Amino acid sequence: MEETLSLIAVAIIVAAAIGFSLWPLFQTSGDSTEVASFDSQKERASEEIARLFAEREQAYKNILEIELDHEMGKLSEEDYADMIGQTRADAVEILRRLESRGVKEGMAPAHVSVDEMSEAAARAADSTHTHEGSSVDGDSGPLRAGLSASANVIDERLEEEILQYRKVEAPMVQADRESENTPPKRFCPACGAETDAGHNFCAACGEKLN
Amino acid sequence: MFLIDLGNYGLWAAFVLALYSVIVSIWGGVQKRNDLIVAGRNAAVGVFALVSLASVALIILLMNRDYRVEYVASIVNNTLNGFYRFSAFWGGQEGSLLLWLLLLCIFSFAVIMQNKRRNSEIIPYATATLMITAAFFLTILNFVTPPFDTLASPPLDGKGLNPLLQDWGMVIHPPNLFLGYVGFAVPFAFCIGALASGKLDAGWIAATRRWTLFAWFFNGMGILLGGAWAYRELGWGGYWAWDPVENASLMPFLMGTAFLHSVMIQERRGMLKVWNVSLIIMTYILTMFGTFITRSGIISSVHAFADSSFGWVFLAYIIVALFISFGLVIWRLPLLKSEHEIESFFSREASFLLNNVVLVGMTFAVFWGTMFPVISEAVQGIKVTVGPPFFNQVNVPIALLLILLAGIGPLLAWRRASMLHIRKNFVYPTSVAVVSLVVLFVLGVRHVYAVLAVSLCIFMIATIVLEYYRGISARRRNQGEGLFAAVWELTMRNKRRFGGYIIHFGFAVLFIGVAASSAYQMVGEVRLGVGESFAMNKFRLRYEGMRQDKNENYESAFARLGVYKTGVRLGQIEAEKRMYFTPPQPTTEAGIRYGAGEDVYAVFADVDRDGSATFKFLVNPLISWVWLGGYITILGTIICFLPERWGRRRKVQPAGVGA
Repeated sequence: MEETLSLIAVAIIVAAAIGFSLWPLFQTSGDSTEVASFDSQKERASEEIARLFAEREQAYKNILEIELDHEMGKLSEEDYADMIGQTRADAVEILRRLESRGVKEGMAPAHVSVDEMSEAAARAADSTHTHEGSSVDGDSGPLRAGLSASANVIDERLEEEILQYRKVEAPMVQADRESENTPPKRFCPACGAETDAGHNFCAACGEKLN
Repeated sequence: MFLIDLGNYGLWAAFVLALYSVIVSIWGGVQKRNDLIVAGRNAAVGVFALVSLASVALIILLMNRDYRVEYVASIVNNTLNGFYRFSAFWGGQEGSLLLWLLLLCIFSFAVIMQNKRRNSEIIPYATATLMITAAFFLTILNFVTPPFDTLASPPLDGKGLNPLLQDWGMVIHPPNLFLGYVGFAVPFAFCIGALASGKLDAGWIAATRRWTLFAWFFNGMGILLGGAWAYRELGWGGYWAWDPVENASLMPFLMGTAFLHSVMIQERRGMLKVWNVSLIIMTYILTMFGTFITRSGIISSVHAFADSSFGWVFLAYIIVALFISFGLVIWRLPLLKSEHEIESFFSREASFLLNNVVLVGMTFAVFWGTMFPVISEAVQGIKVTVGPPFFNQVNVPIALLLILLAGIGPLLAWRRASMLHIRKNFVYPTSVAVVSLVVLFVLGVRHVYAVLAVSLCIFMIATIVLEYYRGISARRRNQGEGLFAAVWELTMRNKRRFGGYIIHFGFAVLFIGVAASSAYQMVGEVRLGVGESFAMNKFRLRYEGMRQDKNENYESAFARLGVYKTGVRLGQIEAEKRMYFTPPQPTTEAGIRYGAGEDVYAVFADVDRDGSATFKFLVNPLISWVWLGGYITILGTIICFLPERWGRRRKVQPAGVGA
């Protein structure tokens, strides 16, 4: 009797574990698979933004590190100027890519933890989905938002510097871009893929474009 | 009966679920199907739940001394107290494998929870990798050495835990080492995930940075605790003997150290990608290899488990894992191109790379020495023993080079350091090192390696002090901070860098301890009557009598020894000799007078009918520095572990979260 009861109890526990593992397979039948793929697409867009956030973090850290090395007397003036310029340009490029992904003011909160960062990214991706294709407004708006997003990682001073740098750099790069390819590049707000100006839907993910 | 059934069937179901998780995770990853990925994830959670329940069942069986279970009867007995009954969970073959598996499942569960919304392309393959490892251990636990096998007629008393393991150091040393070994499985799984999915940017490294640090830390602590245990418990007065199993724990640590350093270059500069994936693959393989050595009995060692006939399972797994991992690396070579090149030999990248090569070289030397007896036996049919002299001869020069590089690295800037600044930066540390070299020589220290090691450690410490000094001055100049605020802010704003320096400082202290205690250990063996004494250099030990004691587990004899330094009595130590009842086995508990300068160490070997006793006495200089270095390293690791923002003064209000 005791043995049977014991076996039944173990069977229930094992069945629960197996059931839990099989459950997702029966969850998605019929049209819900589409929902799943839609979700994963949105997720991919949010991951792209999260990755850019992470890259931006790294770029800022690199800048701070170069500055620290300079302050501590490890870099000559020329090397410092060269490196800091290049690293700042990298940072600006990342910010520009974030803009093109539709990261707008206030969307990215201060980087507190990786968790919150990815949540912010998800939110950014979400809102680009709901207000589809809302165009990137202004030049310094999103940039400033992007910068203040890591307010705790970098000093205000550094933010200002990068903003200054961006203002000087921007028209030149803009001109470059226009001369290279007209019409100007557009990016899908959902997946970040480059899109043709004439298209109404993204060729990569099918997102509606305006 | 319920607990035994739960253990047996639970592990069975876990095995099936782990295989299922591997299949659906990979399938889901390839097809990019969410339902399959979630199913694989859930199955891994199911494995975690079942293995946890089985582990709890085994612990309860051990606590209740349920001798129906063969494992319980073989490892505990009626007199073993609760603390050691609990630790018997990992005291034997089956239990320690189950602990390994349990930790792996806990880590897998943590990884899954951490990454529910992150790294979605890597995670299915990472889950599969972790579950392959789990399935491997479940294969052993289900088919080779099942922990829940029962005995037809349960004995009235068990065999008891090996007395050598009845020590708090031995209670925490194996789990510590396992935390390290198993921890490396996480970055390895992410690496395999990155290779399989083709997402080979620094994302997988960033996602596992803390895991790597965690694994590295516990691997190191496991080694140190093992050393501390050997020093106290084994009675030969040292802490490291180049025993094969010690080497097996050192190899992943060295490889992991290399990985820990070179990932920084990939994160910053997008370089060394092939190198990094290779390092973590090798680290993981070496953790498995370490287990293989311990369990296979192919090499005789103090650690070898008695019954271990399944070495070939490990070997097969290691070979398959090697082939698959490096197959993936070769397949992905086009994606592993470096984004930059090393610009100058005088850059931190270059010095890191050199340090990497040295660490890998050291690993290889240890590997060669460990495996040589086996290779020689296979090739020539002669069993050769490779002892400490070989390892010391090879590794001491390599270690010296490593200390030198650890000193130089921080002084160089990333990418390129100008010669002018190199010269400026090296003047002080080099002068300090040269002065210390001369001072040591004048003081009469003539042991070449000891002099070099200590001077190089001082060089390393000097560079760290200089770094702090420069950083503090810069902050005080630019931010107008006070001394303590500057130290705090500098460390907290650059946790990885300055936490790393503190770890380096800890290692310098540790190496000084190692150098002094191995070069200047004094040993004497002597027979003393009560009241007689023996002098070693400044120290004198006086045999002051004996007392006996007995409890239900063992009886012991204590020799009381008075310790004198230059005629002044420092105190009394007791060297103990124990005789355990089950199993009947003597152990030695050394009497140690710990000191910042020297440890006085006494082993009570024998006692005669006339009351005279035989002792082995040792004076170990600076051995406490080894442990002190370990503590400093703990502090540094904690700093590296702290969240990015923690401990900083808030200067800027975070931007409002809108929309």
